Amino acid sequence: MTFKTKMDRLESIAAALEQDEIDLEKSIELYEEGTQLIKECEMILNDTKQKVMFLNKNDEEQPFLRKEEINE
Amino acid sequence: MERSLSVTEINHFISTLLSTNVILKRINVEGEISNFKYGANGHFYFTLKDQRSRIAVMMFKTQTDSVKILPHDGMKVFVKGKISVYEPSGQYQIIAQSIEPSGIGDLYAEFERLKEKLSLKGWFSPLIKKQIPTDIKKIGIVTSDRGAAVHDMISVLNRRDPKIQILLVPALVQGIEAPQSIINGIYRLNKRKDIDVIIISRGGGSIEDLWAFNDENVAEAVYYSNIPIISAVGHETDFTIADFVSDLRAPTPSAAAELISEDIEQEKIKLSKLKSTLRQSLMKKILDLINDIDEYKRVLKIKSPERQLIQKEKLLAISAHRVFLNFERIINNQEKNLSVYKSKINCFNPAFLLNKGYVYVVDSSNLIIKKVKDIKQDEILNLHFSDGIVPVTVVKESFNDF
Repeated sequence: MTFKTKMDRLESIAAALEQDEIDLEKSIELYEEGTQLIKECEMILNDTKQKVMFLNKNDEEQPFLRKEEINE
Repeated sequence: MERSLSVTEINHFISTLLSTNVILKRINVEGEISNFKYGANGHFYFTLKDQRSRIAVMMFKTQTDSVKILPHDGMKVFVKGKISVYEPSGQYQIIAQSIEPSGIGDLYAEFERLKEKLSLKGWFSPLIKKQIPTDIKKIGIVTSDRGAAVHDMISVLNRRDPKIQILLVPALVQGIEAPQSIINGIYRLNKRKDIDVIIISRGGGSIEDLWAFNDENVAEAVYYSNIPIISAVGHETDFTIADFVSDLRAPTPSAAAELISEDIEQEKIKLSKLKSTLRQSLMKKILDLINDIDEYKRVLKIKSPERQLIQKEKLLAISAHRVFLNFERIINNQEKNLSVYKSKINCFNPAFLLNKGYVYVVDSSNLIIKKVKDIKQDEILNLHFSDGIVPVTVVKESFNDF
């Protein structure tokens, strides 16, 4: 599941929970799913480091270092 | 007989003459290019002409790096260089050191010409432009690995959305080899399956600097790309053919990075809101259910048989009590009445009167004497007192006082 898919699923869970018709068991189920998704999304938002690669002559990916990084 | 020279000698002489001439060592010739050939060895060969004459020109590969725009037939140029003689053929030519368009106006005319041509082909139509996907995981960038463009894009994306992976395909972005370099980049990215969108980009510059992005072959590569292409060339006011053919034009490289990314801060806020919404919804649901349960409890209590029984018992007690009170009241009343009657009757009780001192008189016939006139002298009467009877004789008939 991509980040965006997870966020979209969270939105539908939130919308579903706001309705009155859902019974308690289903609500708790959705809430737990939602909480898990939130945890995953928070981790992605807080921990993901940017990945920059370049394509070398052999069409292989190699890490790309900007001039500033090389100088550091 | 005149002394004769060999062909080699005469050609050599002419060569020396021309190559040592001060003027011919540094010339600047304006003319129009024709028969342009870009040799496999990287050298240029063409004819420079005006209305009446022509001269051969060649340029060594080592010099061609300075040429920004690939020369083509019909192009009007300034050729700077020197005259040299190719001795084996006795031909002189210009060895060019620089080739520059002789009129910017020509460049703009070429731009307009190509723009018109591709527009008519329908290559700029909004209908054929691909949508830039909304869920971008990995992008390909075709640009120089130096310079501000790549730096800006990486910075902006790092700030806004570090999740997006970047694959840079380093390319030349100006000079005569730039168009092919850019085309290769687009082609290599198209072969992959993990690229969601391609950005072709370079920083600002003159129309000659940007010229690679006006190249017709580059436009074709952009047009036929299966992956959506965003062009970000030059400054806000620069428009190149690539910008018209691409699926989306960004005014600057930074703008391109912004167009494909969501601000991560917004995502964090959104996530935070979803968190509270989730909590609140569940909380509300639970509270509502608790309320419902309390309500049922309350109703059950009210309607319980036990309670109903108690209610009925209460009512019974009250009614019984009322009945009792009324009954008591009635009896009291009757008792009162009875007392009244009793007192009334007692008034007539002879024993009552007798106790007071009254006597009743009875004659010999046992009749009660009520009047004096019924009494005769010497008659024997019985006086009935409360505690006995006393016979008496009448002494006299009556005192006449009455």
